[in-house]
Amino acid sequence: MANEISTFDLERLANSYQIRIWQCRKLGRRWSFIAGAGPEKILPSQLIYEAGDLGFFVQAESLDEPALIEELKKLTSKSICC
Amino acid sequence: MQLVNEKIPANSWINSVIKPEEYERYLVDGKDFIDDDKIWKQIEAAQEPSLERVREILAKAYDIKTLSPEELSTLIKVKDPAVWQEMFEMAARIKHKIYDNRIITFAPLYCSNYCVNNCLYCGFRSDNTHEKRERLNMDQIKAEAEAIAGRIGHKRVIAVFGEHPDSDGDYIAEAIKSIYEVSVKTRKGHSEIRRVNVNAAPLCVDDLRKLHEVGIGTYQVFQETYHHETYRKLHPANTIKGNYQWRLYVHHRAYEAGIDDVAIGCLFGLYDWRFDLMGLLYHAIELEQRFGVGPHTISFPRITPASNSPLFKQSDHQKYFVSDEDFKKIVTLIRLAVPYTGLIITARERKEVRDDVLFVGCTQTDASTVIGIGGYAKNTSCQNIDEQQFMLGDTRSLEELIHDLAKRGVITSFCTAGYRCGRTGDQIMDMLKKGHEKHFCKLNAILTYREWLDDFASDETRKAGEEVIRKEIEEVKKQTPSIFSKKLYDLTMSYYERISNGERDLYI
Repeated sequence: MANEISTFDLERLANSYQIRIWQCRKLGRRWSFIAGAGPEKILPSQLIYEAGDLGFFVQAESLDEPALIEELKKLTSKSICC
Repeated sequence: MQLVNEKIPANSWINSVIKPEEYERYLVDGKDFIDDDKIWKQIEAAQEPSLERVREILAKAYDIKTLSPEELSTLIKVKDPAVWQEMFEMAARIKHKIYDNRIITFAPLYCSNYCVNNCLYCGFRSDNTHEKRERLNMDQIKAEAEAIAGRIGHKRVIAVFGEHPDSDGDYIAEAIKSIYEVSVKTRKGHSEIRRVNVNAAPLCVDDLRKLHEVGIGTYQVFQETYHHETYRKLHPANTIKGNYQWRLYVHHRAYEAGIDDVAIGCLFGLYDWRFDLMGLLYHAIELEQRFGVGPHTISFPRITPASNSPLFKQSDHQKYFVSDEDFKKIVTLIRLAVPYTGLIITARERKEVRDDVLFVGCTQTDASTVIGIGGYAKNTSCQNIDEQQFMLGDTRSLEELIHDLAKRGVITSFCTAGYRCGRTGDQIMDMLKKGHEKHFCKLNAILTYREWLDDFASDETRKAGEEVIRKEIEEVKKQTPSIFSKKLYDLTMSYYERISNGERDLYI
């Protein structure tokens, strides 16, 4: 099962890729906003990665897509220790 | 013993639904956030303001900042028609600044008119034996959605439910799922309902969570009147609706349940409109302060005749009925006081009134409206007071409305892009307050308008609509690259082409 990413990690990704990124949860036919980072841009919203019912959208002028997807894969599959 | 249906005693049902701990935790010293005395003092203390003071307040509203109650009560005191004209114009400018040149349309979908309450102004009240009662099953709800999406072309509905054990959280959740399942082939593509908003009774957190999980759009509950004493008189104490605070804090519970868009409203004409206007502002401020997200929309229906309604026989209440002139002031003042919010004007109002107030800041309206249960599938065109909650003032079809708006240069939008990419809740609220959302509104209005013109418009309306699209695209071109990047412009145009070729539900 995919885990939500922390705001800290979202901010790190937003800074390092110079993007706006936000995570959402799929509910029925819609996506519901959970948290995001990076400045809002007047650019298309692109669904870049889905894991279970989580989805990650970005707004970017240009983007190293494979690298970001790889990071998202790792972050969403991190086990949560208690 | 009073029963809510053949088996259930009213008191035990009410006690099982209302969970005091779900609203009492928000009370401060046992009191809710509507202080009747304070509101009246604020209204009475305000003096007719100077033009300079009015302009200061208008400037704050234009900066998309929520006004304070003192500022709103000051604007209420304006008497000079020339100053009001300035306020009407500012309301229109603010709407354009935040939402651009578009009006969103939707259809109300009444699923059940069984109701345990006995509100003196409502045709659905339980004592009204004239009202024909019906509760749609899921196939009938789908048939309604098919007619709305496939014959009329709406992409949004607000599903409406009376308050009754048979229309509980499970029934509402099933109804939402059923509506989302519908897809209908159209002339060039397909049509479906992409956003299901709900107007229903105040539910508990667990039930609201069920609606959240099936993808509810906006959850809308009106307080009817914020004035405690009037509320008590109009909503008998032995009914579930008699609990003012259970209703007042339902949006708090919705946020707790994860629902990110909530809508407030009140029924103008039940009490002094100045007080209820202040109540709406206090409600918006309370939600902003508690959750960081104000109301997604505000509604301001005016009371209209309902089947066998005792209120209309009480002459002492008629003094609160709102004139057309005051109604326009109310809409203007809401736009100024809570600048970021969507404002909904419905077909309750006559065409002339709608045409007038639409342009002082409204963002959404309905058309081809049928409020009898199951009326869309039956293709009903006439109104029957004993089959609906109230009488409609404007029965124009969506086609007629779109044509009328097009002639005035306004684009009708079917955009639901926010729900396609999670621009919801505090994300969209932030964009609205910064004035960014309008740019997305503009592009998505063009794309969804193209869909509707191709799938549903007559030749005459298509021609009028294409002229509007031409102007809108021209504006986008002029704002490229200063606002829209070349990449975004090109993408929008490529989507436009794809939609013209029959693809659907593309968004920016």
